[in-house]
Amino acid sequence: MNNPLAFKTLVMVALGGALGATVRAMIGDLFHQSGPTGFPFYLVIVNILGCLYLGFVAGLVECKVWHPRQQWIQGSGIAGALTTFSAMAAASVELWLNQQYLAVAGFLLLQLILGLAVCMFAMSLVSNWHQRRLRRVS
Amino acid sequence: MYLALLVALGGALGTVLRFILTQLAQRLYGSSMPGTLLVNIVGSLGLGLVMGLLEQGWLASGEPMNAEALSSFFQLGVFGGFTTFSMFVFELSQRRYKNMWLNFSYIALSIGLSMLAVFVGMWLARVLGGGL
Repeated sequence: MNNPLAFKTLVMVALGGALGATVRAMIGDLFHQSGPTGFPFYLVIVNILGCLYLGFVAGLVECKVWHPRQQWIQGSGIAGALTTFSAMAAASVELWLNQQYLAVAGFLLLQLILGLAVCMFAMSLVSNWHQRRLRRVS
Repeated sequence: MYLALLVALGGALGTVLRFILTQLAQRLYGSSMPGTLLVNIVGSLGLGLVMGLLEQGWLASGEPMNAEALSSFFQLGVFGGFTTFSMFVFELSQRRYKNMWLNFSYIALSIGLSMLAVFVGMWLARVLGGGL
């Protein structure tokens, strides 16, 4: 399991991907049932949730609390599949074709800024927690 | 339930393919960025193609390959799992990539080219659909 391209790791990454994609579809379904609003809010939600989750995973791996394979399975697998770029691009194109240029800019900037913010927030939260834990031990 | 299984199956497939490509990029270039950029563009092209084909009612004839199943498998599953937003953001947040121009061009290329790829995919679907 120390080689990212080992068969066992790939199976775990695939399972993570199945889970992430299913949760994304379920969140999409919830929003679809509450009526089509035009603005693809569910994409903002899954993408931000995925960035937050990936921030925690990457933080724990960076502090060596978790083994790097968690970055592959949970980071690339679950968080990677929970978020999506293709649907975001397609939603932007759709808004663009409806001449809602401001909505395109808002949609993309919202995800970029919020995504970066929650990812870095989660990583620094983990790093702070880890440093406090180390101080308590020593 | 049946549709959820298709999403999971497609998601697993797309995720593994993306993972292999980004790991290869990591080995070849020392960064997963070129891999993520490539998967996001190729995945957007594929999504545009499938969207265009479904719009024309192509591939949708006959049970059990109905449009809803194809959309679940390809749109939500394969291309949804293949492309990623979280890894894209994570790469931007990494300290060793704190090069403003590199980050800016990475954002512009990712978003610009993937939107273009959706257009090209939909156009390809129209060409393919017209020819058949």
